[in-house]
Amino acid sequence: MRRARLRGSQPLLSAFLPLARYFAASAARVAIRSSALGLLATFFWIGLATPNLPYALRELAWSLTSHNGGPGALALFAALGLGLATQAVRRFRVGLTGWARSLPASGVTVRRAVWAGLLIVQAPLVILYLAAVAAVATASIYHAPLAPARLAGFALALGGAAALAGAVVCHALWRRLAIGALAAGAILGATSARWAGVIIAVAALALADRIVGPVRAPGRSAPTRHVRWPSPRTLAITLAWRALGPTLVTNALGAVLPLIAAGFFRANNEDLAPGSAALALRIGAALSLAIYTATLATALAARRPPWRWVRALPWSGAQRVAADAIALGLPGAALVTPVLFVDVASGALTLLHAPAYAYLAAAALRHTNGRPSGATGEALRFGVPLALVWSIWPASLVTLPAVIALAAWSAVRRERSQRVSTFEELHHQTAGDPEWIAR
Amino acid sequence: MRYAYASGAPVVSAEDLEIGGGLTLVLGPNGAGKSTLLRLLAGVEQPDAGTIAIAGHDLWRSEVAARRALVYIPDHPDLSPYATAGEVVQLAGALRGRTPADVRDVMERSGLGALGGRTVRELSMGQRRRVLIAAALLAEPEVAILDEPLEAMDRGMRDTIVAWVRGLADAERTVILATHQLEPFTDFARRALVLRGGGALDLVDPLDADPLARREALGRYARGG
Repeated sequence: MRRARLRGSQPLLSAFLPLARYFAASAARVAIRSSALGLLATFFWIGLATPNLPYALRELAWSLTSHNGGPGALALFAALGLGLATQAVRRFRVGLTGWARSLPASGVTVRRAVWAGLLIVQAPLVILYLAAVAAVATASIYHAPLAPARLAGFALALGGAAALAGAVVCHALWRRLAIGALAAGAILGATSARWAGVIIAVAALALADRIVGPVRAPGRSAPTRHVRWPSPRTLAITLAWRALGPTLVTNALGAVLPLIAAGFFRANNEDLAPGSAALALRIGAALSLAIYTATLATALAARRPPWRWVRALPWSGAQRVAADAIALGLPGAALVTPVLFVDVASGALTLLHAPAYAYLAAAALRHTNGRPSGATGEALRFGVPLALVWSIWPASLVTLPAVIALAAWSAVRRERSQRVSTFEELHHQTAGDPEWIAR
Repeated sequence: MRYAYASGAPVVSAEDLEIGGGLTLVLGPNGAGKSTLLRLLAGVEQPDAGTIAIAGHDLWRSEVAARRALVYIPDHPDLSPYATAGEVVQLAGALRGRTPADVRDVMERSGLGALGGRTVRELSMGQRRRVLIAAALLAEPEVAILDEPLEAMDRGMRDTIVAWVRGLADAERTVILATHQLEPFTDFARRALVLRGGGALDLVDPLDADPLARREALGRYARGG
């Protein structure tokens, strides 16, 4: 009865405002951190656009606020806002459990406050700052009429981004999917910069607010029927990727540098012979692939120590190694797949390397004691020379099956002989041990 | 068969040991190497020398066949923090050729019906052990290797586990069990594997038929006597 009364008749602002302030404080901290990144990105953009800065500013101003521009900038800022809100919502969800749930506020009110916080996360960033600059610049400098639909669309796009990111706090899967679809529709409508789109965005957000329901606790998914039946290998790969988590992205940022360098080299040397241009691309892509796979091995070794119990299941060491090799190799393959769009032959030849680096990494992550480097060092010690040889002399790829077989054999041997209990046996938990407490 | 940790001193050392059907209790004081022995028997650790065969299959030459014949419940429920309870049981079920219906059934019987979507981080110690027990119940093992199976279990689950162990032992399956809670198992234990530290290992087979003498002997072995 109490719950029903709270949900049904609670005055909107009495509970909403304190909660919104609470989430706004968290949002502001996230926003301050993000704004540093935003400023950095702005300076980088200005640096890139320096030769044509007035032109670039005018294009930006028009596309954000005037009839003269396209929808590109609006969509870009919506994507930026979505990224920021997605980052922030993780922190907000932590605060939704425990004591906070005992407060006299309905789940719907809490969820609305979360969304308000997600809007605030985006507000002080370069997004609004640049939007304001763009509006002033459009009206006063470029003498172009402001487009109210575009300005409204900008605000609604940020609202859609908040709703899309905030959908994860909603209870029940169907609500999360529905709100996600509605929020995505709102963003599309808002970035179309037409009144019809704005009206669609308003309607979609209003409907989302109606159906979205109360919040759910983080990590506590409702019991679901397991209709899918993943194979052990699929499950093992999924668990490896979950363990890797954000490192799948962060490691790629560094590893992709050789490929970017190869791209710049080609772009700045337009008179290169086709063969030399392809060689540069192959070397850059192969190095990126080898480095990325090798760094993922260290991340996986650190974040997913050997799972002892699984070794007693009817699953061979070779099968476990193969699952790891796929988990490490597929992201690497995805990293260099875009090369196919630049040069099909170079991309295909480089993709052939992926299983070799993956098995080298799978072997390296299984042996971390008694060597001077981590798994990355060991995988690179073999991976980089192989990448160079195979890229420079594609005919040498005939050795590829032998290298894969050798790396797989080494990985399986290490998998079997791993001392998975040594650390636990030699470093017993001392917490609560009276011997230690007395010291 | 011989096994040592980094220090080099053998933790387990045995020659030509064969364990038949029925319940075998692994006894010895703390640190004698009971859990290490069970890990070796379960194929979690590979021995430095020698071989271990489960139901006629070498653990490290016929990995899958040997492991298909055994179930293992470790002393510490080390489950991946990246998996849900349901996924762990699914993994065991898929590897043992079970259907999703079997998995759902065993989850229900183990009191995990509503916990399938929870990650391991969200489970209590007792619930984590239930996950491993549910995975074990999916198998029809020739050999069951159980390390402190009653630890952190409530009364109802203890009764279920003891009944399961008794059923396996009565069916002449090999059950190798290490525990400090001897009472539920003394009546039907057939033999004892006694570890005295430094790798020394004695097989007492059969145990005394007299209940009082058997209880006294098991208590003595558990203290390292």
